[in-house]
Amino acid sequence: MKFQIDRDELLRGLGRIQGIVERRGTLPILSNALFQVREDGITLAATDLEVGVTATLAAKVTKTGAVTLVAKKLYEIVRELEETELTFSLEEGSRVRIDSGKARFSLLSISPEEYPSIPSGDGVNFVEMEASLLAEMVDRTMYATSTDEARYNLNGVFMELTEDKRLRCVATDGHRLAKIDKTPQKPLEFLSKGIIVPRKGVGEIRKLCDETDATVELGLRDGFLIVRRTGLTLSCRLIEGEFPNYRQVLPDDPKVRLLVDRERLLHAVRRISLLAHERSRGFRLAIEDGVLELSANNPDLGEAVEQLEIDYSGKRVETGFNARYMLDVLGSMISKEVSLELTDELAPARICPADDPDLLAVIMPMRL
Amino acid sequence: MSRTILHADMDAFYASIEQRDRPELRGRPVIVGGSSARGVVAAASYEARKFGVHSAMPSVQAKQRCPDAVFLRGDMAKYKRESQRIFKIFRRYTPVVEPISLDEAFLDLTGTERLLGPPTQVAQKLRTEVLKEIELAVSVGIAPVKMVAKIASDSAKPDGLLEIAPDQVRSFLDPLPVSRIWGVGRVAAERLEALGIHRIGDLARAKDTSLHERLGDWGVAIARLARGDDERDVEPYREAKSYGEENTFESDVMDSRVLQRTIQTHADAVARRLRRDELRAGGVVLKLKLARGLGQGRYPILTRQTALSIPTDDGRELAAAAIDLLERLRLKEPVRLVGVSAIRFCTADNEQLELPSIAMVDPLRRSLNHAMDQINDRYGDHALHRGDGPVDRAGLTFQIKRGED
Repeated sequence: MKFQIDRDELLRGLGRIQGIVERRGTLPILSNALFQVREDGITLAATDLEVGVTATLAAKVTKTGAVTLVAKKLYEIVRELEETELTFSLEEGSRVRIDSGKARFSLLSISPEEYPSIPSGDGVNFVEMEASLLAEMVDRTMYATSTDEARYNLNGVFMELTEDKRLRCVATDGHRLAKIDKTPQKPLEFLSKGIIVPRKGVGEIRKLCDETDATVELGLRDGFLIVRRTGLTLSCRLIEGEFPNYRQVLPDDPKVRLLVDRERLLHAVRRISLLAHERSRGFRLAIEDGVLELSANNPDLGEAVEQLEIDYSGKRVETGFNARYMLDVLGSMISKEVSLELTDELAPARICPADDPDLLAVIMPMRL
Repeated sequence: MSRTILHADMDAFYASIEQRDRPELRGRPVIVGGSSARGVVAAASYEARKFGVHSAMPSVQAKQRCPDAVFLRGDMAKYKRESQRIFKIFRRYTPVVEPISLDEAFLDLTGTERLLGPPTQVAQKLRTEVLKEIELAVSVGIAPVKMVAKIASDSAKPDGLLEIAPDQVRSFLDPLPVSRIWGVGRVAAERLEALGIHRIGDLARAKDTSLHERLGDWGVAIARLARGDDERDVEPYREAKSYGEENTFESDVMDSRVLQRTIQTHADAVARRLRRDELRAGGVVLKLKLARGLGQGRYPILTRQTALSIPTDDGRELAAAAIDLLERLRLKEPVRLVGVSAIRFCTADNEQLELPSIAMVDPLRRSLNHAMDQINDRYGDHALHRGDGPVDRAGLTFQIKRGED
């Protein structure tokens, strides 16, 4: 195996896989990246068995072959090299020699036969989708996923094709829920039965969307969601399990519906939450004629109150929320105004952008 | 202002109760504890102590040292009842009583002299009342700080009283071995001895800077104790920071199903205490002692903890988190002890509600727990249990449950 490669080209590839390789994993091979050197160029691959990425890199290949090298250390080395051209060659005793000007490194390689297989895009029926649209759907929902490993079926974003052929993403951690429906240029028919894409995979998909201006391709293969763009293929092992019946939690017919300036509300919640109880992060939200009042008190520190003017007349409604949940929701939206819909102090609250019926967030209150 | 702290400690509590109730045992060595291969001594009468038997010693060893001893499994419910009667006597003297366990408490007598008389007199009166009403002996230590009071009551045993005046503290502590400091166990004592610190006086005289260098913050903290400087107050309502249950198996366990069932049993007991105190746990700790010995009766201990996204008082959820920790350990060797603790308490108010239909604990589970608690409170701890759990705790060794439940 021998090839020459541009330093920046390799650095981009190595940088792309750093989030995937394990730093201190139980399996040493998973700290490594796989280089497959073919006549027409090389591919660089990494996986943690859940998420896999394969990137093609331009290189001048002298001799084909395959090696695995410890990904983080190699990244650090390449970052420090000054020459623009690097030469990789396999030495005796499965060492890989890297030459760059007068600098020379010799790195141990683990046999590529030991490297776990990464699902490729070959033979997958891909459907194209606008990268920016997919990115938006991720941004509006991912925050609501659960990090509690005991609730593995909530550790990702649920994606499905709706009856009217739209793409729906839903995420929930049991306390709050985010749902978005959008219409991609082509319906993702393979999602007629929904899938749960784990957080880490969703994060990688989001990155991939940023790396292209045009479209990405999506498809399913043996329990993996495959997403690719030119030069890069990503595979995400799907979470096996049922996503809960989220339709039941979507509140209908709220008692109170009011429009609030999103940024004003967000900043007010952020201020008030400074005096919320550290652990519960709870604050009170009350509405009555013309006024929305936010308040918090912390027995060790003191209390805070802030009022916002609103267009409301009717019964007083008071409830409490975790400030973090409210900030997450308001921060995930971009509209100028949001519609805040409440029923009573124990019923789920619904928040949606005033100008976008496709997006919806639900937060359960807190008993304060 | 100088404080007056009294430490009262019942003499051989469980064993003395048995001797009181069964006259045929009086004058004979009595050992309360697990008699199985893995059992430990919970209490030894003074007759048994003459043979070198002490609490926390493996029962097997106790049997070797004192073959004629009467081994009793003990009756925790009875000991708890007696404990409650004794604490009522303690509270006649001050409301500031901090229970340390069923048979041990701190009483803060600061400022009671004009009302009750000199502390020594109070202590003697307390001892007489316990002896008369409960027919048990209690030893008492009096000192300006908690740790010294505790050491004094220990030095006064059996059936004694010792007061250490503020100006006697240093001369009392200095000649004692460092292991007498509260919180200095065997491992800690060995660390100190390796540095040439054998007596409390050695530690008291050591320079903080050199202790900090060699032992860190811990070294400075115990040196303060060694100098009789213990600012800790007697805390009558000290809130528990964790609730835990653990057991040593009769024989080492490899079978993960047995471990899981045991974890469930412990989690249920912990959850019940949480519900009783209207608390929720925000985290779970799994503790394992591996069977592979390290010599001198020591075993590797593994502890792992995890946070719960929703604080809970449900045994199933606590167990699920602990079992998840167990599985992640991918243990390939036998286990000697398993324990489950609930940590990071929060009160049941300030409660984050869950989305219906996604909720993990459904309201039915909550009412089931409530119903089970009521039945068990009324008809005894094991009147009702899970069908898939162990039938009872037989097979688990005797637990020293100090001041719990």
